[in-house]
Formats: sequence, C-alpha cells, structure tokens
Amino acid sequence: MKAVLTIAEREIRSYFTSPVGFVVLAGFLLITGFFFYVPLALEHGTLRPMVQNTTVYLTFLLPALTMRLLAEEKKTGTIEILMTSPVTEAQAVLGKFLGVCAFYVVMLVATLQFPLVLSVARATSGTPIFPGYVGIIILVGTLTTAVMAAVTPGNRPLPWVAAGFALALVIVTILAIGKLPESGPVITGYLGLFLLGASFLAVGLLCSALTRNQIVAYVVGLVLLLGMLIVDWMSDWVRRSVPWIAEVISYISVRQHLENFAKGVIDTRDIFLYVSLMVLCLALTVRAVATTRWK
Amino acid sequence: MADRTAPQTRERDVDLLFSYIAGWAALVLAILLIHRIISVWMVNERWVLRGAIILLALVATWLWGYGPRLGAGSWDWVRRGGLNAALVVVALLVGAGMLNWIAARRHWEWDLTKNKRYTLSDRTRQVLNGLRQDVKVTAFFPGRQFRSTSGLVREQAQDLLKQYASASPRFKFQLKDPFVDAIEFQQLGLKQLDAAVLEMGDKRQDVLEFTEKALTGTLIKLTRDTKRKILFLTGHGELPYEGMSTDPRGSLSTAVSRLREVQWTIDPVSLYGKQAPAPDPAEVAAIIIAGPRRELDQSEIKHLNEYLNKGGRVLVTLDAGGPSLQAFLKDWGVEVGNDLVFDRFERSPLFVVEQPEQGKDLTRGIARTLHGRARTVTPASQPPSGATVTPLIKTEQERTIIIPNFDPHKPVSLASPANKNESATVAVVAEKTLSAPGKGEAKSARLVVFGDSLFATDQLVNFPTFFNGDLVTNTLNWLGEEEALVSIEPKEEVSDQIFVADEKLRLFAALHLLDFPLLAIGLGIFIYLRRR
Repeated sequence: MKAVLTIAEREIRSYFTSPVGFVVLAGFLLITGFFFYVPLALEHGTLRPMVQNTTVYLTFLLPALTMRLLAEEKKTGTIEILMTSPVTEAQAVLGKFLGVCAFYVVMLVATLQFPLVLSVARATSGTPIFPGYVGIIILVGTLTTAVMAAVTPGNRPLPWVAAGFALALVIVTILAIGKLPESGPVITGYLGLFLLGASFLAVGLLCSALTRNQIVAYVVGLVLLLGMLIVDWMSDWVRRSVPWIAEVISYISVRQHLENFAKGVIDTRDIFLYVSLMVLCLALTVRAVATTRWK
Repeated sequence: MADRTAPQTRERDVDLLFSYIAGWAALVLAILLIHRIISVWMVNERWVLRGAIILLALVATWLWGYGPRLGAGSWDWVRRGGLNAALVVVALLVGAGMLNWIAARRHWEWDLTKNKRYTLSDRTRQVLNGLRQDVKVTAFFPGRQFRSTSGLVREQAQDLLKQYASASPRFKFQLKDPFVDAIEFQQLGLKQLDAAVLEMGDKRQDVLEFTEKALTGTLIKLTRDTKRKILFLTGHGELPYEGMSTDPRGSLSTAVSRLREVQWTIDPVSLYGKQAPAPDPAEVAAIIIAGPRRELDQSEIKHLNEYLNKGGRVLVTLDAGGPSLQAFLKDWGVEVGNDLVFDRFERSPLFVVEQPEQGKDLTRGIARTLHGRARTVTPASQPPSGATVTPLIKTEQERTIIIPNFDPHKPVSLASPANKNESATVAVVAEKTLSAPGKGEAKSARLVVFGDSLFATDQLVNFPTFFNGDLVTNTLNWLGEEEALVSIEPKEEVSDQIFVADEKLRLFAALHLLDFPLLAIGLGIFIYLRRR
C-alpha cells in the first residue's frame, strides 16, 4: 500500500505543478459554471442539468489528464525504471489511478461553490453575506491552501488534499445543505459524478498503457468514451429490429446510469456498472503493463 | 537446383498474388455486407446469404495462400503470450458482463429525494407484481420544437415509466414523437400530444396525465373485466361538471377530468319521480350531489336511500346559505349547520386546512387543502343503528369563527357575540354495515358530506401547492372501493423555481464564468513561477 500511495503522491504533485492540471481544472470550472449558471438565469435553481451535461465534457477533459500517465513513461523510458523497482504492475497502475482520481476529486470539490451559490440565490431578504458569500470565500481559501501545501516540497500531497476535501465538505454541509429545498439530489449527483469520472479515468489510463504517444492515447480515449456516450442513441435505432440488443446497449450507456444519480436516486445497478467498468479497465491496464515488462 | 525451384517459386508467387487479391476482395465485400445489413437490416436475406457465401469462398482462397504464414505467425503470437493475454481479456469482459447481468436482475434503490418522489407506492408494486400479461406502453411527446412546453412533462413521464419498467419485467414502454411517428399517432386517435396508450392483449387504455395514481389506475382498469361509473345528480342547480361554466361558483371540470384520468366513467343522472331508474351499486360506484341550490324531492331521497341500502356510495358537497339536504342526511347521522365558517386572521370565508385528519385513508398524504363558503357538518349525537359517523376535515380553532344563522343576503358581522370561536368540522364520513358478518360478504353503505363545494371547483383544484384535486379523487376512489388508488399518496412537487435579481445574476455570471476559472489559471501560474 505504501508503494501505491507513493506513486499516487508523485502523480498528484505532478498535476499541481504542470500546466495541464490547471488548464483542465479551469476548463472544468468554466464549463460546469456555464451549465450551472444558464438554468439559474432561466429561474431553475438545481444542479441536475449540470450533473447531466457533465458526461459530455468529461469525455473531452479527462483523457487529457490520463494521456500522459503511462504513455509518457514508455516514451521517456522511465517505465523500465518503474518496472525494475520493487513494485508490482498492479501497484503501479493503482498508484497512478489513485493519483489522477485525487486530482479529479479536487476538481469536483472546486464545484462545491454551486450549493453555496444556490443558498445565496435562494435567500429572499437582505444581503446574504452569510452564509453564502462567506462560504464561497472560505471554500476558495481552503482549496487554495490545500493545493499550495500539497505542492510545497517536503509536504505529502495526499493528506493535504484529503484535509482540504474534508474541510470543504464540512463548510458546504454546515453553510449550504440546510438552505437548499432538498439535499439528497446534491449528494447523489456528486456521488454519480465521482463514479462516472473515475470510470472514465480508468478507460483513459488503459488507453495510455496501449501506446507511447500521448496524442494517440488522448484520441483513442476520446473515441472510446464518445462511443460509450453515443451508444445510447443506437439503442433507439435497433429497438424496432432486435429489442434485446437495444436493452443491452441501453444498459451499457454511461449517460443513462448518471440519470438516477442526477435525480437523487442511488441504484446498485448504476454503481455496479461504473465500478465494474473501472475494475475491468484497471485489470486490462495491469495486463497491458505486464506485457510491456515481458517484452 | 536453382532451375528446379525457380518455376515452383514463381508458381508460389502467383498463388500468393491470387490469395492476396482474394483477401482484399473479401475485406471489401465484408464491409459492403455489413453496410448493407445495417442499412436495410436484413430486409433482403437472400442477397445477404449470397454475399456471405461469396465472402466465405474469398476467405477460403485467402487462407489457401496465406494459411501457412498465418499459422506460423499465430504460433509465434501464442509463444509470445498473445493467446494468454487474449484469453484474459475475453475472460475479463465475459466476467464483467455476467456480473452486470446478475446485478441488473437483483438490485436495490435508495431514493434520497425529500418526498420519495421516485419511489413507487406499495400498492403500485402490488399491481405490477400481479400482472399476468405483458403491458405495452407507447408514450408520445413532442420533440425539440415543443421542448419549452412539454420538456418537463416528458422528463417526469419518462422518470415515472422507467420506475414502472424497473419494478416489473412485464411493463415495457417506448417513447415516440407524435410528429415523427405521425401515422401511428393518428391511428391511435389520441386526444393530446403528451399522451400514452397502454395495451394488454386486445385491451387498451389511454393515459393523458402522468402521475402514479393515473398510471396505476389505468393498469387496474386494464386488468379488470367490468367497468363501473360515477353519476352526477342533476336537476337542483348543481355545479356543472363539464365545459365552461356560467355558474358564478365555478365548474368541476378539472376534478372530473382527473377522475377520468384515473379511469372513471362519468355520466349525469336524474332520480326525480317514481319512474326514475334506481341505480344499481354493481354498476354505479358512486353518486355525486355537487352544490345543489334546491332541496331534494322525496322521490329522490327514496331512490338515494334505496341505493345506499344496497351498498351504494354518495358524495354530497353543500354550500353556506344553500339547501342543507337535512331531510336526506339526518337518516345517516349527519347534522348540517345553518352557519358560515370564516377565517379569523384573513377575514375571509376562504380558509386553509393543514394536515386534515391524518390517519384516515381519504386524507393520507394530503398536506393542505383550501376551502371556502363552508358550513359545518357534524356527526349527529345519536347516529342511526349500525352507522358510524366521523369527522374528516376540521379547521384550526385559533383561526376559525363560526357565524351562526348565516343568510347570504345579509352582511356578515364578525363582532357579533353569537359568533363561536371554535374548531369547525366541515366534512364527515358516514359508514353503515348492511349485512352481518358470517352471512356472506359484508356490504357497507358509504356517505361523505362536505360543507363546501368550492374546494372541488376548478379555481381551487388548480391552485398550486394545495391538494384539493387529490382530495376529490381520493374520496371518489374510497367511495368506489378503489382502495389501491386511495393509498397512493400524492407527491408534492419540490419546485426548483428560483427568482434571482439581475444584479445577483450578473455577479454569479462573473463568479462562474470568469473568477473561478481565472483563479485556477492564476494559481497554476503562481505555482509554476514559484517553482522556477
């Protein structure tokens, strides 16, 4: 486990110290902000459209995070150092996956501003400096401090990220959740986003393991994720001819499974699909890395 | 030696060239075939069959030339662990598929919404579990061009249909666009664009409202062989129940359309005179006397009592200042006050009842109702033998004034010392067991009396956040012994409507579209510079 955490910490530090991590974070905040703001301007104070639309832009953003994870190691030859060190392929893959997942969690935590903004928007009297705006400032402060501490040499990034995450949750729970008409869909929405994102990251990691070219890894990851996205549209197309195939296609559609989370429902089928996709891709990645070692 | 092998090599090269061409031809034909199969979906099976035979021949030719090379290459691939890796990949894919297949069949759900609006009631689950035949649902919703008006309905309906399909494998649905599938839509003869058809065997029912109550009601009716109806008594200036109303009190058309949604057949009835046909409880689920302006005739009272004594069900809604129907109601243990119930704080005859008599089937899940121009109706101190009369809706004592001897033609005095400041009962339920237990199936007569008619009129049934429509349908379903429908609690919509001032919206736009993304970029640049 120590080896896994060491690799994960190395990865998360590299995201916080490279432009790619912050460009993806900024893009993610801009697009989620857009999908949160537009319904709000149309007088709908809900996170559901933001959660539902996430599938599309995560398809484009997340392969950018995973494309370099193994492809770069192969290209620069550092994979050989990693493979000759006393870590197993599974530990290496799991460490990289945990690292990129931790960065994705930071991205999600940065959107916890939305429940706080909703509580500001719902306030009907006076200037709602507290809790809304104060909450947003504390949240931004917490995240900035956590990130700064994580990249400071000598500090271990994962405990700082975990502490920032925990503190942000406490802030939002205390200051916003009680002000919203219902908190269930907010909680399930974030759970769904985490599971969806983690499974997308696992797909991206697999693509990165199959090539030494980062661009190829990105494009293959993008095509695979887009395929998993649009497969849902095919189900309507084949439903008339072969209904059972339509059922299967509909079931493997990642977008359909996010619907329940966005509504406020947790279904074991949805969790199972995302987790099995994650485990399958990680197992295949381990296999692909093992093949590299034997070659 | 060289002379002997040269022709053989040339011959071999020709064979390889031939196989090479056959291989490419096979590839092109395979692509064409796949394209054909996808585009026409096996319409011309003979064409596909011929193509498949030619493809097989081409593949065989290719293998004839390249078989040995392929074999050597495959063996090399196997030796390098390729087969092993491929088997692992296939095993992982099959394992994941099987686990998901099991997970899809045995699954659990947790509905974290405030009012559990994505959880079907126990009654609906019972109805779905009891299905012995497949129910095919074809739901129509206009597409993008009408999204502004029907997008929400489509989303809610889709959510609901998914819940039903998830609860029973016998419930299958498909969504269609009435403009795309226009011919099918026209053939089905649906009355509105947002509608669904439920078919079971050769039976069909239409759904025009997408609520759990309406959908389960339709399923119940679909599985039932007999059809009962609700009759509206006419001839006493009752409230109109269809179309536009000239009655200043309004119309019951919304409540009636909701009753039709839960599959009741509605008809008028006159019970005046000895020749009037006596309603039969086997066919008539209930008779409604809605806001009469004249007292009932003796012959009508006789017919109503006969109907009730055979196990009939009657709903009466009265108005303050109107006829009391005391001649009919006193025999059933209901006393009607000649008074007006007034809201003390609002200084209005319109009043809200919060959580009306929870615990009763009729009011289960009903958070609040709105009433107006009501008179008191109370259980008689000496009810007739065998009858039980209980209050259904009571007002809050603090906010109620009961003005006695109410005359609609005289002004109301709120300061009169005769006024009473006490809780008013404005609806009662009377029930009478007609045959003793142990002698066959026990029958019962049921009578519900409301002190106001206004609660069932369009303006109050359509009033948002109040449950008047559910109170009407629950009452009729209970009277008609559709207990399954009564127990489906109405789900209060948790509105996401939010009105944000323009200045706040501009602030939010700057926050989300500028500040946060820039903060992330700025943080990245700061860390980069610091590390340099």
